[in-house]
Amino acid sequence: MSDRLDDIVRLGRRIVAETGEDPAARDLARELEMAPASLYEHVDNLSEVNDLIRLIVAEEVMETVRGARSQGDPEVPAILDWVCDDRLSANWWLSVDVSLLPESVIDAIDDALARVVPIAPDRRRSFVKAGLALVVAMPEVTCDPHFTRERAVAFYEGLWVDLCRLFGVPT
Amino acid sequence: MSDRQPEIISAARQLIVEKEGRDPSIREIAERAYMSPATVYVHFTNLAEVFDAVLVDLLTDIRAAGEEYGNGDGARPALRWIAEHPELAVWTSDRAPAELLDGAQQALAAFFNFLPAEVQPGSKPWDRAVVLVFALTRSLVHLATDPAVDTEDLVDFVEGFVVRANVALTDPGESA
Repeated sequence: MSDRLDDIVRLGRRIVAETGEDPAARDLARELEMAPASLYEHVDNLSEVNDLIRLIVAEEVMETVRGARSQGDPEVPAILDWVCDDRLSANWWLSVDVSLLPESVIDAIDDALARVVPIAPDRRRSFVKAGLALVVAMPEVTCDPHFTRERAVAFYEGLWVDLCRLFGVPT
Repeated sequence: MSDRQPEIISAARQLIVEKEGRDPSIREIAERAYMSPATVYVHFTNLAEVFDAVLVDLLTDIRAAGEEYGNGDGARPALRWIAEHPELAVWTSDRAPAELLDGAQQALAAFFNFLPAEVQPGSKPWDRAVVLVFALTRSLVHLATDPAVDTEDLVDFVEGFVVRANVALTDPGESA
């Protein structure tokens, strides 16, 4: 990734966290003090930027999992904390139709997942798609003050175990 | 139901399949049903009302699939329906609970008879339940069409989800 593209994606990541919306070309260009047309010297289209931001966010979640593990803490509460701390990003990420995600994004999530879940390579893609669809309600459920944290943790921990069992992943 | 409503519902269903789960417009529905958009509006107030009627129609189909299998088959009829109609299942799972009209809410309430009794349309637990079940539906579109997933294991998975959702959603102290 070129330095300028890196700047665009980092800024886009910040805009997603602040607004929960796709970054607009004019906002990116204004903040980076360039003409909107110049933006397209570094990216073919804004979908490319969104896909790169999705990869960054996916890496952040995986890092959260690795961090919890290294501390000996359970993973699901750590993920729920991440979702609540960055709800706009979580909603933005999950608002995408998983079946429309480019193969490169699924591949990257697949690779990241492989580092934290011992799942057979030929089953990972299906696991990613089914898992992403299941957690689509997570921001709404987790951040709802009427849905206690204990209930949310118990619900998603159980779901994780069941999903792993369905795919033959040891838990 | 007016005499032309079934034609409109059928046209909308066909288009949802062709558009791989995305919403058709009134114009597209009218064209497919060989009528003008104005005629569609004679039979339905707006597009949301058409979609509600489609949702009720789909739920009726899934129920009929259950009756075809007979009682005691648990999640199997719904899983088979999802595997055979992935586009319609995706479309269903994209409905926002708060935007469903009364007819669809009541049809869903009858369909979601596995939920705790206090989880009724119009309450926060109901909205959460619909969101959770629709998320499950979207996931099942992948799982039910994955040849490597064993159907019996998937039935167990769905039944486990239902039990967990019941526990998570049951909260006698909570009001609408």
